[in-house]
Amino acid sequence: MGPKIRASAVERYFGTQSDRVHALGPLDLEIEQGEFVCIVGPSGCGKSTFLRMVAGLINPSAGTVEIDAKTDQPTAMVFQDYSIYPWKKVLDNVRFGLDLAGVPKKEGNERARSYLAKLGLADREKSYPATLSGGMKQRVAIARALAVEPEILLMDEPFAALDAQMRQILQEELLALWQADQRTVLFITHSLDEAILLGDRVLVMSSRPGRIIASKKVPFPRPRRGDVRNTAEFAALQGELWDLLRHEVEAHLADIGSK
Amino acid sequence: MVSPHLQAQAVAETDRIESQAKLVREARGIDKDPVGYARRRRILFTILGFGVPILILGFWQIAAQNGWINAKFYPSPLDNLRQLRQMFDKRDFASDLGLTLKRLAWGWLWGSLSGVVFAYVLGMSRVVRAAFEPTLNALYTVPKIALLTPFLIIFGFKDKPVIILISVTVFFFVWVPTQAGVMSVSESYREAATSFGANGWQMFRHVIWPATLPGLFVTLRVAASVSVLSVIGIEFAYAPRSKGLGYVINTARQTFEPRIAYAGIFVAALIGVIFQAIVKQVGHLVVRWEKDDRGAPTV
Ligand SMILES: Nc1ncnc2c1ncn2[C@@H]1O[C@H](COP(=O)(O)OP(=O)(O)OP(=O)(O)O)[C@@H](O)[C@H]1O
Ligand SMILES: [Mg+2]
Repeated sequence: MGPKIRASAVERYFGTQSDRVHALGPLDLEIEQGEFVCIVGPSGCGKSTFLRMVAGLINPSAGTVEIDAKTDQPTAMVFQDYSIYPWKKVLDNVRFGLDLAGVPKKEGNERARSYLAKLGLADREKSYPATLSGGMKQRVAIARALAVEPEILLMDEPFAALDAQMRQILQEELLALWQADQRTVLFITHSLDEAILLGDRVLVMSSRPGRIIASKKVPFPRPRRGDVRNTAEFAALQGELWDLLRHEVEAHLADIGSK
Repeated sequence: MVSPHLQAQAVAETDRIESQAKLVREARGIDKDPVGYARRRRILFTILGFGVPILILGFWQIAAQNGWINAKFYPSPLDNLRQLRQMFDKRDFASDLGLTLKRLAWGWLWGSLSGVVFAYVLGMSRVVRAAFEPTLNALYTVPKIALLTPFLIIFGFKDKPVIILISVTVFFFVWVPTQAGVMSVSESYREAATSFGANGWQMFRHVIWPATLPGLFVTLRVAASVSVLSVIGIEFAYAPRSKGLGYVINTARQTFEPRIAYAGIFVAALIGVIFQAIVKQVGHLVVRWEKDDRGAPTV
C-alpha cells in the first residue's frame, strides 16, 4: 500500500511576471495512512500554501500531490481564523460538512452533537457564534472538521489565536480524539512544543521558497499526554528542531535585510 | 518667567491627569438590567420617532393658525387632513391611491426580484459577469424616465408600461449594491465551504445568501423609497386612466390648489414610511444572528 499523501516535485508560484513570488518547493514528501505529521517553518515559507493544495483549494504550479482517497471529499480543514459562519448556530456550523455531503439532518444532528459533546460545547449548540469566546469558536471549527470524519484532517495553526491554557486544553483534547480513531493529520504550527507533543513526525521547512529540510520522528509512545514535556528527550528534540529553525529564520531575516 | 500660554497648557494638562485618575468603570443601566434597558430604549426611541414629526406638525399648525406663515401656500396640517377627507369623498381619491399602490407594489416586486437574481448570478459567475455587465452598465446610465415614451408605445397606454418602468428603475438600485455585496463576501467564508466540497448551489445557499442578507434588506428598503419616487414621477408624466397619486398632485399644480398637492405629498410620504418599515421589520425577522440597530442582543 502506498502512502496516503505523496507530493512529488511540487512547486507553487504566485503573481505574474515582475511580482512573481516563488512560494513553495520543489517539495517531495510522503505521509503514511494514520500518521500525525506536524509542519514547522519560518513565516511565509509556504506551509499554508501546501495545506491548501492538499485541501484542493489551489493547485501546484508544477509537480503533483497525490492523495490515496477512498471518498470524493477526503479532507477537512480547520482554519486559523476559524471561518465558522456567524449566521449558523453552533450545531448548524458543526453539521455544515455533513449537510454538504447530503447526510440526512437527523443523523447529521446526532453526529454533530456527539462531537460538540467531545469538545465540551454540548450546552452551546443553540448559540450564535457572536456570543462565543475565541476558544469556543475554534472548538466549533474543530468539531466541524471532525464531524465529517475525514480521511485526512488538515489543521493550519488551529490554536495560534488562543491563550496558553486554552491551547493546552485543546491539545490534550485533540490528542485524546486522535488516539481514539487514528486519522491522517497534517498540522501546521509555530510552536515546537506543540509539534513534538502531537506529532509522530515533525517536518521542518526552509524559508521561502519552502522545502523540507528535516524530518524528525518523535520517539514518544502513544497514548501520549501533556506530561511528556517534562522528559529530557523532549527538551533535546526541541533544542535540535530549534537549531534547525533558527538557522532558517536568521537566513530569512538576512535575506529581507539585504533587499 | 513662564508665559501665560504655557501656564494655561500646564493647567489644562493637570486637569486632564486628574480627571483621568478619576475614571471609573462600573455597571450602568444597560449592564445591570439588559432586558429592561432594551425595552426602555425601544419605548424611548418610539416616542422620539413619533414625537419629532408630531412636534414639527404641531408647530406648523400653530404657525399657520396665527398667520406667521401664509396658510394659502402652506396650509396647516389640520387643513390638509380636511382636504384629504374631501378628496376621498368627492373625487374618489381611494381609487387613485389604490392604483398607485398597485403600480408601486408590482414595480418594486419585479424590479427587486430581477435585481436580486442578476446580482447573485453575475456576482457568482465571472463568465456571466463578463458577458452581461458592460451592457447593463450602459443601460444603467440611461435616464429611465425617457423610456416612458417607447414603453407606452410598445406596451400600450395602460398600467403595464408604468410598472415596467418602475421595475427597471428599481432593478438598478438593487442590482448594483447587491452584486457588490455578493462579490465582497469574505474569501475565508468561501474557502471554508470549498474545503468541505461545496458545489455552486450549496455555496449560494449556505454562504453567499446568508452573508449578503443583511445588506440585501438595506437595499430593498432603498428600493422601496425609490419605487415610491418613481411611481409619483411617472404619474406626473403619464398616468393611465388619468388616475394616481402623482396625477392628483400634478393636476393640483395646473388648477392652482396647493392644498391638494400637500395632501398628496403627505400621503406619498406616509406610503414611503410604512413601506420601508415593513421591509425593515421583515429584515429583523429574517436576520436573527445580528444585533439590531437598537443594540438589543438577539437570542
Ligand atoms: N493568494 C496569494 N497571492 C499571492 N501570494 C501569496 C498568496 N498566498 C500566499 N502567498 C505568498 O506565498 C508565500 C507563502 O505563503 P503561506 O501563506 O503559505 O506562508 P506560511 O508558511 O503559511 O506563513 P505563516 O506561517 O506566516 O502563516 C508568502 O510569501 C505569501 O506572500
Ligand atoms: Mg500560514
